Amino acid sequence: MPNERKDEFLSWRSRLDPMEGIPGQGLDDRELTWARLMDRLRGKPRRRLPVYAIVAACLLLLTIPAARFFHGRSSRKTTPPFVQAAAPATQPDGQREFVSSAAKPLMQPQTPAGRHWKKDDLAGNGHRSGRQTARSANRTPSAQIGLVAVTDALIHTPGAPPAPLVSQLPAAGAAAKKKWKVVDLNELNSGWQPPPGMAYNFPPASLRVGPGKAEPVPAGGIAPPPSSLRIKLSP
Amino acid sequence: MTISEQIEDARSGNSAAQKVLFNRLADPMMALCCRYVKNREDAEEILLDGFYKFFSHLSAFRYQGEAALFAWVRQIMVNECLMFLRKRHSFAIVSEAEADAVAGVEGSLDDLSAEEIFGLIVRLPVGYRTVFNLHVIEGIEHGEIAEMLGIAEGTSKSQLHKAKLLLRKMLHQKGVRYAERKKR
Repeated sequence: MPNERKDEFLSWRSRLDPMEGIPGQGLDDRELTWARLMDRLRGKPRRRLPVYAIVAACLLLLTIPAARFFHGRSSRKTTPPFVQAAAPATQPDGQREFVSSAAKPLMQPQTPAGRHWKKDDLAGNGHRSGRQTARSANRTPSAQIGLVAVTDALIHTPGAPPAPLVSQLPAAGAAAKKKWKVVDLNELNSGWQPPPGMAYNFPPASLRVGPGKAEPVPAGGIAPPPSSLRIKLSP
Repeated sequence: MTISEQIEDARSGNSAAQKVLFNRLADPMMALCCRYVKNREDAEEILLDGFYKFFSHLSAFRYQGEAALFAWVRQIMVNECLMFLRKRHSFAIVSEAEADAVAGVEGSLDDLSAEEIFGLIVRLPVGYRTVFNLHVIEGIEHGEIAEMLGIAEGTSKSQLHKAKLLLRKMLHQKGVRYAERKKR
């Protein structure tokens, strides 16, 4: 370009380029420098890594296992004892109790995801609790549901005292801290209220009541009283 | 013994041949390092690092003449200098107060000797000096300089511009003496 100003400094390139170097800017002691270079070439490199970098690396290496150790301890401490949630129980006649899918989860398990069950997680008798059994046997959302409607025909038979329903609930003895109320809806309608905290076993019911479905009485069964509905309510 | 033979011997680990090469290259490379780094001790360390790399990678070098050998060693030294400067300086932060516009330079720049030019360049701030060295002396384009230094291309251009302004100012202060010397 005609208007472009010539770079007056370009001539300096050739002046500083010569292979002979610039007088007065060479090495002060070439032999000493050469000896240092030879030391380095023969495998005696100078220590490039500062001491503080080595110390920092050592501290880091020590910190990682310590952090993992304390992390494991804290997670064990904060994990509350396993709380048994309502789970569908299998009745003696093979019928399975109805579990309402509309109910809210009673309690979320505190066990971290991915953690395997340990002995501490098991119930006091060494067996898996109902929650765990339900989880392994039937991986459905019903395992976390606390509102359960139960109607069973064979629990109560004439001449034999009805088995307490509480004992038939999944591992009821293992979940000592959990209180369940079994409430009969018919009783509720009549105005009767069971004592708080008491498991109430209503006479045999012939129908399994669920949303939109009903099952007939098994053959040879007792004449069905009015259909009853037991609802297990969470505290 | 020619340089190519010396290189062949140096490749095989002949320390005598290596020393011949070192003696041949050390002074100009030391001057180059001092042009980038003011401190002579630092420059000597850079020179040692550069020669260590030179001899370590000599087996990969294909000799195509003395100029090519010099260019290769020079490139190694420049890279070492830039690595050193990158560790210690931020190229983007350069004092702008020192760069004042100075109109014209009395006397011709061709009259300056290599030592005088060297003295002027070394007086530049580190950012100006580095960009000036890379662009004017080494002939590297601004885009490449920006990549090498990790700065924007515009920053490289502005640094060069300010470096030239500052050099002109220094030359202006010196120019009277040149004029007087010329008159004599």
